[in-house]
Amino acid sequence: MATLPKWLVVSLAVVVMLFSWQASGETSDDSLPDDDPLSGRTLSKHTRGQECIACHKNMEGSTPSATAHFKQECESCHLESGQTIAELSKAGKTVKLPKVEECKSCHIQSRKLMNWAFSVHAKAGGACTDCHTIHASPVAKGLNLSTRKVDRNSVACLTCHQDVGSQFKMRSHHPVTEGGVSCSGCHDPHGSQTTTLWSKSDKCLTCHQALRGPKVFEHAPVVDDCTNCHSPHGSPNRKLLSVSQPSVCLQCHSVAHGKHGMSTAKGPGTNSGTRSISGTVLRECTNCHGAIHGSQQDPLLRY
Amino acid sequence: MKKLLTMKSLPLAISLLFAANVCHAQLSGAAVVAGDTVAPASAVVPPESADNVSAKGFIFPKLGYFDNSGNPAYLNQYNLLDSTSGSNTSNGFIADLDFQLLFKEDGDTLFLEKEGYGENSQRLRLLSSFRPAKFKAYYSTFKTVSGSFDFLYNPDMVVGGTDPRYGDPAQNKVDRSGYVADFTNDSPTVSEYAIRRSTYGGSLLLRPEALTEHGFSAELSADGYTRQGNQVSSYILNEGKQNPSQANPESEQWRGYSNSVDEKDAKLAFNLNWTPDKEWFFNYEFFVDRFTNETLPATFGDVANWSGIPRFFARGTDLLTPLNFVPDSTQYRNALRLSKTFGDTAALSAGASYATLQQDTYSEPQYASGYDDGNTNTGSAYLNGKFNVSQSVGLEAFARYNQRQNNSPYPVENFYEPVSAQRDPRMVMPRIDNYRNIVYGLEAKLYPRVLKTTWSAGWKYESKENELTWGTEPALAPPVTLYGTEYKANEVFIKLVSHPTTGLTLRATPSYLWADETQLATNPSEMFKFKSSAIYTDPEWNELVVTGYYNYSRKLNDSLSFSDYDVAPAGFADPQNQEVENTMQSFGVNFSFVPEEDLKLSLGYDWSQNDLSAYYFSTNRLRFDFPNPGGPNNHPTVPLEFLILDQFNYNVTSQTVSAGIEKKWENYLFSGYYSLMLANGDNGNGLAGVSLPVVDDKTDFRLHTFSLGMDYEFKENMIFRATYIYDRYEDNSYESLTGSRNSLCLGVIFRL
Repeated sequence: MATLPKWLVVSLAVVVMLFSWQASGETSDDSLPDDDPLSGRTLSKHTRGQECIACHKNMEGSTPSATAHFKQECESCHLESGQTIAELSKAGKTVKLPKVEECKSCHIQSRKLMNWAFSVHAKAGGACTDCHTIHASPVAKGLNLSTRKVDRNSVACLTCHQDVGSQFKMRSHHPVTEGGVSCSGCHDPHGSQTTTLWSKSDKCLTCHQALRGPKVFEHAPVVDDCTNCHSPHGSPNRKLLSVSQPSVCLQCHSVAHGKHGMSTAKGPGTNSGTRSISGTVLRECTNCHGAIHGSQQDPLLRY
Repeated sequence: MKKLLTMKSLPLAISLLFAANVCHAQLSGAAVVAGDTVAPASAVVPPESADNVSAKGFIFPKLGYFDNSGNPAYLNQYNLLDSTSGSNTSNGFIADLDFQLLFKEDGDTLFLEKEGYGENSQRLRLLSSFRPAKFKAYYSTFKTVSGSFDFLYNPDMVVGGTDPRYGDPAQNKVDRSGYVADFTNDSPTVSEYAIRRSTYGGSLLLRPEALTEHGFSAELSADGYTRQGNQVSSYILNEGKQNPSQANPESEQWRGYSNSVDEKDAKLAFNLNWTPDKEWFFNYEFFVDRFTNETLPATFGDVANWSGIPRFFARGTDLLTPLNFVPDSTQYRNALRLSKTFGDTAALSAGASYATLQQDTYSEPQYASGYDDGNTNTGSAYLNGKFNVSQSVGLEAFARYNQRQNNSPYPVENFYEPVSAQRDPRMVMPRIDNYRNIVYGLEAKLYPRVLKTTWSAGWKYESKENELTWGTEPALAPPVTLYGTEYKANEVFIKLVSHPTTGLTLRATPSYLWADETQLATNPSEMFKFKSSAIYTDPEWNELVVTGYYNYSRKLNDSLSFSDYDVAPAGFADPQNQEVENTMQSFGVNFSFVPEEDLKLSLGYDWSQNDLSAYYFSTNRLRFDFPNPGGPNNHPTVPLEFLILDQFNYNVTSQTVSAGIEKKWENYLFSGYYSLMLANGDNGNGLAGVSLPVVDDKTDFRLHTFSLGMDYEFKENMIFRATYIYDRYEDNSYESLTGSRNSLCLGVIFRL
């Protein structure tokens, strides 16, 4: 008898549970905090967010962070200290977005942000609101079908890093556009390479543990840095190789006669230099040296 | 009606379901996500009444249909569509449900999100915040069949993948290279190679008042993954291991098989954070990562069975020798980090960690020879300092250190040693005993207000150093490798960020690197890089956004050489330099604008090129068995000679054109999108390219994606959504890989 996939059964169970809970008492949450969330700030007491909400009804999105921010005073982030909406309106200006320091005034105990002062994005003049949507989250992903499976974090990254985005369209790529991985799985957007305890290959080995060894017979470029051979974002070559085989191997390796299929039988020492290695051997070195990332058994990395 | 579940019990219930879903993966924990404490915000929220419960979000049931034609191998490789009713990857229906739900009660929140399309692409996320803790969990599963695509490039699948000219034993009896003529697929019935990766995890951030009032928080997190499926593995047997009396053993030498994959990885991390005030942050982390390989590797004994040849291997060959053995392993790590800010004036950041990686299982030959303690240690540290001299001048310094020490047994008699008599396995490559990487540098920033430009100028020094043990002869020696033990490079750079006019931001980063010594041919001895981007926005004119970039890098390495070995007088001579030159460029421009209300247009073009050239070297004999007096390949009177056969060139260009449109009309929203990605070029021209089979010589393919979408809001909070996508992959080098796919998806979004 055919059975439904396990994921489908569990998903349906989750939804049924949620509905049963939801039906028990749904009310709206219009409450606002009574006391000042950011002590020491001068807020315009006459608004305290109520006037804003009257018009901006849909500002509370459906994520926890949206909820948390919705409970704050609008003025605490959107007005300069002591400023009022009336003054702003009179001057014909729009409300500001919060600066990094203002965000950090609440987010003080975050391990993610401890190295923000040295982060690449901070140096580039980035602000939290460049990447984070504070209030609303989209009801569903928009109808933009080019990013229909990309996770939300990566969509934010690719907005600026378009050169990287183009690499994810290449024939071989980490499956960001398919929703398989996220940019933040490898990159720390709040840090930099100078504030990491990872070596160059460590980050790759957090997902590719099978390659970490320890290996008896190691391949030196693998120990050094995976990007010696691979372009992690994407490549027109299979297996994320930055340069296809055999070129990627021939940069470092000579090809010995006798063991790699010469056009005629030859003994050692008769190096005419005119005979080519068989294309069958050249096309993919890893067809024979399959344990190219290191071997437990074979010094020539063949198995 | 009595509530069956409360907010605090619901996460538990869902967690149990969640755990049930991934129990096959031996759920051991939770997420990598770092704890994020927002003390003031949560502290000021007044208690809400028990009835103050709300829900937000949406539910999106959908039904899709897909139909493949031609060869869908490429289209499937990261996007394998499989019908929901029965397994059918050619065509069929897919039913799925996405949702995003946020529940609130008494200031506590529960958030659930699911996205997916069929069994092979699912993501589930759960966030729960209830004082004094915060819980996060996630689960995702993703199936890639890139192995099936790779399989089509197997030696037995490609014209030119084997070379029948070498089938004549008489022609090859000296060189023993006749294996090129034959490839044996030991899994002839398998053509589907797929691996499912399921990732799961969760974290619990504890913020009890007793701790938070002193600035402490603790987080326990665990995550892991499973990888299951099969992959293409090919290998070649050393002819010395095969039975020399077997007729024409070379025809059985080159083989491949379907290699089972069943891996489990589980990580557990404990983090203790201390923030005595807003300017200090301390973090201690303990981390353990256990990797388990559930498959038994194929062995020489299996190969003997597959071949069907009695006494396939020579006497004395250990038939328990594994192919592609992947051991279990465990890594432990302790790390300490701190950061300190001094208002806007200065900042400091430092960290250090120490990790050990232990091999937990060993192959039978390893046990037999006493190799039973494989382990490496790694140590890392960093120190960063920053000082703003004034509002317009800032200085920054950094240093980073990584070290990796191999403590595994060495030498191990009869297994792993720099022996003078040839045996297999033997040490023909250097052992990397110790690897050190040090990077430090300075950067100065200037903010001259008048020019609306931020200038940074910096210098960076990097050194990499290896302590190696080279084998004694016969073995590889430094002069016959392109492998150095040290890399020392200096780099200077400038970073510019300019806002010359309203709405325009320009960024440019030129840098120049030079190295006295290099370790690998891929290291640059000289490199010039230029990275630039521009963003222009004009909200007044059709909400125009134009972005563009241009990146350039030219990398050279001519510092490594091969030396011949002369026999009279004996010694290394006549070094010949390898010269690697690699130029990479990329360029792109994207337009987005809104010519009229409710109409959005976008247009994009990306171009990139990778151009690499190097010498193609050959040698008259194996580099590691010179001159080997008295050994099996003893030719003491024959020198080792390197010869440059040619200079090969890899040059591939990729381009992408894309266009999108979105139009809103009354209750309808229409969208269209088209992209064309194409790549072409030489994988290796000259002598190497001429030798290659057609499918490998050239890169020449294109991918079309055309999609249409429609949203129709037929009721308040109800949207009907329809999407149609057409994908087509055309490969002009390997024409039989051409294939296309039509897919249609219909669904209704219910907003809560």
